[in-house]
Amino acid sequence: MTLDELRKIREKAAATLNQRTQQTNAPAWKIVVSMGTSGILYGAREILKKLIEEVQALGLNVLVTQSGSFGLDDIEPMCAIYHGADKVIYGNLKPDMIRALLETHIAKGQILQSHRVQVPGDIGNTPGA
Amino acid sequence: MYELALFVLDLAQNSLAAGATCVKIWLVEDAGDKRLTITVADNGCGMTPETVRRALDPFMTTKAARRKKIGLGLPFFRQLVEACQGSFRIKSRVQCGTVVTGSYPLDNLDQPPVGALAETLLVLVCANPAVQFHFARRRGARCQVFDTRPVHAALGADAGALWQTAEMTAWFRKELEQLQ
Repeated sequence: MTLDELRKIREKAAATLNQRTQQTNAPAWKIVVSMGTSGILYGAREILKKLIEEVQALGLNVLVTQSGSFGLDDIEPMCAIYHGADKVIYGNLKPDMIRALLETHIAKGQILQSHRVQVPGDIGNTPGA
Repeated sequence: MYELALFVLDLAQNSLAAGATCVKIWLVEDAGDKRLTITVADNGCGMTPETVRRALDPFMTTKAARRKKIGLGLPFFRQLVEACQGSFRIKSRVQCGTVVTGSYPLDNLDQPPVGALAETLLVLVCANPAVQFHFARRRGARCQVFDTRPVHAALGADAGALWQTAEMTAWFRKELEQLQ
């Protein structure tokens, strides 16, 4: 591990970071992937990986993270997309539709109805759950 | 689960759900006593002996108890280890943490492939910027280690903003490849 490389990454980003901290530090969007045992069995790891890659490719300011199972095993893999007080749950995710999901929901601000899941209120609420 | 790496991911998620700020994952393949030992340790909220008992019992799993939900991950892992003629151990203390260990003979025909370990560790690191991870893999005399603490130290106050950038993901991927 060369920490020098990290220093260079930090310096290189310094210009854009200063720009961003003048606005707001925390990303406005958060995506949480359901990472319980069934989610993992159905490919949640690949979904999480694709989300991180596509968020970077599209240049979106989104925090991508994971939580325990949302509790709906038969429509895994799932994710929840948060924006302020809004929360939308998506299920039956596949890696090749992640880009379309991000472009629709985050870039355009529209819900991707084909994969949207209407669920009881407390699903996907806390990182531990 | 067809990869050891996926069991590791499951156990690590347990640690995260327990509020761990530090998660250690060690994989030791010892040519000497010909055993593979996988350990996932955390400093999360821990469990009482009763909770541990429930966590290991698949028939006491319930989705209705949403708050401290206990899933099938631990019973599956224990089943795997025992199917490989190995030994499973879990130690936990409330407000201290939990250590899960599985150890089995290297030549056992039922053992799963290690799988995409580097990729698994990569998603864990990238998706959890606030958590310290320490990974170690020892194969015989060779040992590779990855620790996020020096990374946080080097990035300083910019760690949060930089953590999920493409440059950092590429850097993490390069560092973690050694553990594959």
